[in-house]
Amino acid sequence: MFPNIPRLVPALLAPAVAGLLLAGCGGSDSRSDSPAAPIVVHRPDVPVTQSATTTANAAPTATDTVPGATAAPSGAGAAVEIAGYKFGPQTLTVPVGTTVTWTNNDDDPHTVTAKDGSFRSDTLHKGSTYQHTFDSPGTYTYLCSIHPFMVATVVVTK
Amino acid sequence: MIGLGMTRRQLLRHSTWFGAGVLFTVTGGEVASRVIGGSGHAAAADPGALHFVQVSDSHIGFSGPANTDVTGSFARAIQTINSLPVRPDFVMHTGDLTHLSTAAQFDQVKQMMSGVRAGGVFTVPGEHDGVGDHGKRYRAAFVPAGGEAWYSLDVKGVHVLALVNSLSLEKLGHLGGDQIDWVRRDLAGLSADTPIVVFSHIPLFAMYPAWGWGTDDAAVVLSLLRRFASVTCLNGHVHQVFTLTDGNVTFHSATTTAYPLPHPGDGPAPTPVVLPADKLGTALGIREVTYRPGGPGPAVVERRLR
Repeated sequence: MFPNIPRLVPALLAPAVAGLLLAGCGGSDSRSDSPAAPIVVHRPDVPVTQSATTTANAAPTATDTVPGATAAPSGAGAAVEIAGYKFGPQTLTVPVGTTVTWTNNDDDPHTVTAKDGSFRSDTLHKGSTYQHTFDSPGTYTYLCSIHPFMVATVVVTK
Repeated sequence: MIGLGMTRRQLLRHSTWFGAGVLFTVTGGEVASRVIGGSGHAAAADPGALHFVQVSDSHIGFSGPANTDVTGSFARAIQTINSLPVRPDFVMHTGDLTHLSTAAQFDQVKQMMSGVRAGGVFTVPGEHDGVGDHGKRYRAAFVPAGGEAWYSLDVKGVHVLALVNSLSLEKLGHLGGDQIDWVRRDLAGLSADTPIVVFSHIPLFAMYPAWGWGTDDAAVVLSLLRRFASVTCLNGHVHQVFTLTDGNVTFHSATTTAYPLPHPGDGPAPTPVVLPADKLGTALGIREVTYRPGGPGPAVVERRLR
């Protein structure tokens, strides 16, 4: 059940091994244990790829009607409050050209991060705000990258 | 995927005891850990046994009423590890080392972890370690040689996979094709009787997908693990002990060193739970795991922070 022959690790991976082993043998550790067991580390040799993906916005419709949605008047700014680990409103409908302002009223920091990468705030601490102007119609889903279960949508109409 | 679409009640019903050495008890229909005292290290003291510690979700940088001193809590976790009668072969931190992925938070947690006395100290990232950069600062801190953040280990005859399923915000949790292909290659040469341990931040089973407590493409990896006699999957992310077994695979969600989260489906969102100050320690802890050669499976012990 316990094969004793570890797979060989290529010598070129040695630096990776060293980098992961934050703690060594603990020479001052006097606990009653056996000598340190050899640990063989296998690291992938593939190049790093960006894990982010870009998805196209859903095509806008002229008659966006979402239950519970809030529509902003034409030409006005619109506001989203972040409170209780929620974006409010969950769905905001605004005309093209509207500037939306998010305000974090939670003690915990949050972000406003578009799933398609089209807008992204820095970390918003309590009381901080972030603004983005929507110049193209579409449905923009965004989340808090610190708490990804916090998801909401801005629908931008023509 | 296991548990997909389960209600919370169904999920709890499907949770079960497993393994001779697992110390759990069921109270009022809920699965909870039973914390044991200072004894019970016979298995760990066996020089042929693999003995390791899982620590998770330290959230260095968090500041809130759920825990006003996460640094102190993590320091106690390290102290607990260093006080174990038997030095672990390795310690694995299963992610959310930091709360906001700042360089200062990574520096702090890395410095603190340098005080862990073990044969090795390893990490996998959580989503809080990739805030705003998909893990760039995490890699700078913990993968200095470059490349991907997933890897595997061989130690005392046990094969260990350390997977990354927390850095793809669009599909949290998500492994991705490159990583799954690597797992396939990594496992290819192993005999079916090799004990397998899999670490990830987010559960590989669907503990509660509505809260991001699942991995959308884990089924492929789990299918690759079906041929092995003993597979143990250890995750963090959910800040509570939970156990589920399915055939040859057993899943253990770990608790946190920072602050508790609600049980699946309790309340509208997985937001920090504020406990009375004298109760917080009961929700925080570390986990010891021991494999004995020829034994029935891993012994899993949950330890509260002191």
